[in-house]
Amino acid sequence: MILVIGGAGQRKLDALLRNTNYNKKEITERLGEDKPVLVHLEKAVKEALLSGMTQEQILAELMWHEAVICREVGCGVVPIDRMEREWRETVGRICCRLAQDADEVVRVFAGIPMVLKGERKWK
Amino acid sequence: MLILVSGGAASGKSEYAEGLIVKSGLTKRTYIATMQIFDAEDERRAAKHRAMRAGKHFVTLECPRDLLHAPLPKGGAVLLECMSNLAANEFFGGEGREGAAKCILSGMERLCEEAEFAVVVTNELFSDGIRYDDETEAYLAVLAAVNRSLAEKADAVVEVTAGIPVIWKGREIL
Repeated sequence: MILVIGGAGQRKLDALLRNTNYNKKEITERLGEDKPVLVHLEKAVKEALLSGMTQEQILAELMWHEAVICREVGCGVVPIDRMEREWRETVGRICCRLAQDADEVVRVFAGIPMVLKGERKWK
Repeated sequence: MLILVSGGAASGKSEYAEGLIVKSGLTKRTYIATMQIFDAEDERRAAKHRAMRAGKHFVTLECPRDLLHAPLPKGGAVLLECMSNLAANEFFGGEGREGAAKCILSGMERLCEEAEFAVVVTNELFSDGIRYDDETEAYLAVLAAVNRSLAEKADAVVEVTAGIPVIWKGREIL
């Protein structure tokens, strides 16, 4: 699996499409849908938690995707709302787990990919 | 030796920091816990961290504030977690707005003198784009100032994201 992370608006999807053979038709925002690329994992996690899924159940669904893109959401003040805290925590833990198993982990900053794991040179 | 480890919530920074202590080869290991427990959620969080540390042979020293006068061990490896809690405890309790940063940094100076190998875990609270009330903003400024001072003093500075270290300083010693 390829995991792409980074802040909002950093061009994470562009970086993925530029460096792989995936096309725009192969992208979904829906967890577990039969498409190789899942974008906005952070949104999918929120919906999944609201529907009562656990972290492990979300991880199991994620295994269907070949590439996952996730916004980094943990770099702020601890939210007052319990659900927001749980969401932030779960997104972070899921990214740690995905990164462990991933072949490639890339972080995009201002459009520039930084390879955190893997052999491929990203441009 | 001082290593500063930072990262967002659930980024894997604690586990990485514990790994540094284990890798140091020092067997006298102290964990300085700065979080105050207020409710069941805090307790669960602390329990999770305890479980993660289990088997790594740490002695725990509770230090929610006043690091300068804490019974710090001489020598050995010390892991302080987390600077954002210590800063909050000093800022909103203890030394208050003015004295918080100075008080923490003199405590850290002492910790670095006593410990052979020190790792400090701090927290990236600075990128959510939200404008908070003045008091919270002032707290964030204190934590940011402490982080900058420690980064300057540290032999290595590492940001952890998705459990992977991004090295900002001191690659050669890690």
